Amino acid sequence: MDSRQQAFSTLVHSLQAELYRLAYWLCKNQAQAQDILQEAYLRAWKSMDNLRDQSAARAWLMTIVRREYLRTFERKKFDTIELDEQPIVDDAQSMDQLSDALQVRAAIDQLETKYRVPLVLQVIGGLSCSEIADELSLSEAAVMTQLFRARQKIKTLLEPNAVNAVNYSNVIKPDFTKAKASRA
Amino acid sequence: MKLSHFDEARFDKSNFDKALGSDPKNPELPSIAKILVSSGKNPDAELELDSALMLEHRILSSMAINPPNLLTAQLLAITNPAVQIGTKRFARRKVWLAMAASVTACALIAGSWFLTHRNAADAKLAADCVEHLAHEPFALSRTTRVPPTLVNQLFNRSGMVVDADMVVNYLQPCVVDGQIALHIVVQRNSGPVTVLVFPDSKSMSDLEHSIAGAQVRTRGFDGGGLVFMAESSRDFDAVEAKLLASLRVQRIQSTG
Repeated sequence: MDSRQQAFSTLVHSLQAELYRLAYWLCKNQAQAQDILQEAYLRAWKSMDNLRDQSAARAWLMTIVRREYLRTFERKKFDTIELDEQPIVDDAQSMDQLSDALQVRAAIDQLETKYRVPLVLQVIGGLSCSEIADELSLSEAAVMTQLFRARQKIKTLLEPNAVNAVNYSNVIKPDFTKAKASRA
Repeated sequence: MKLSHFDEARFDKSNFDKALGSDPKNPELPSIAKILVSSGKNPDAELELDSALMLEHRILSSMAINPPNLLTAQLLAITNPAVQIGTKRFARRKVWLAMAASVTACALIAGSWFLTHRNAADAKLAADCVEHLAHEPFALSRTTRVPPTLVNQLFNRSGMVVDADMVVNYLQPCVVDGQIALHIVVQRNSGPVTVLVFPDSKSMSDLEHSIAGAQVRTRGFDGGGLVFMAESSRDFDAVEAKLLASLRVQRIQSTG
């Protein structure tokens, strides 16, 4: 393995999980998230000579992932519901935690795209409100409002007796078997 | 943090609520909450901040999903010139052979390493712990303190009790190598130190490893095990001492 491949391998091992998570929560589709990552890493491979700085590479790859999502899916208003998706295997937590994660995930799943995308960019992408505003071509105030409403909506949906109860039908459920096995 | 009169005036209850909803991890909010409480403008401001941070933690945890198993091999196959031909969208079907070769090579390397290691079980656990870091990379950049009530709650759920002054910047129950573990990150001057606490690990040897650029220390403690990981082992002693002093060895009845 030459040094270029070695550097690329380091980028893959250190960043792919985080980038995949960002891509997945932006498009909510595993296959599309994989495609976005493949595109991002293909560009990284072509630009390896300019990507020696790991932290710069991270920011650069995250930008590619976001822009690739916006370019490909958001423009097409691509909002899919996965019917035959494989369950996502969490690094399963306790059963209580898994149950809670499932509820919150279901609530996030019910957010409109305009609320979900800024939230994902902030929570997973680590962007500030002004950076999200730049990314989405919105005013900072609009982004703050969307983030506020996203969290309000999640809070409302998670309330025990919420009128708009959490709808689990579209949620990809985590694999509980791992946690059950570990408890046994 | 000292706020100007302008800032104080700006943060009435309504503005505070908006700030909590739009960016609850804003580092200014704890100071603003204190001011709102002391001025009587919002006596519940600190509780509201705690509650917002707990919701934030739940949102982040719910988003913690793992990539598909073969994604790494699929991405590494990009460097194979034969695969790059036509590598565009939906091209991953074409990389099966390269993926299989990569996975086989990784398995052989990992297998030979484990076979030659004298503490194979602990070494495997250490390697799994390092691999686990890649699943929650955002944990390393957390700098805000996890609310003590949440820390207490999560330790209790794992059958342990912990002192209230234990400061952690990330805390998440996980399963590593088939065992329940608490994934902790503590920010230190030399950088983040990750600790995986295994409350029910059968036995763990006291060992130091260097795996994939990470320094790893495994330690047994009463009926469990600790795995420390960081870029440098400089702060391991301090974090270990603090953790052992804070963790109560007497286990409480799990409420789960």
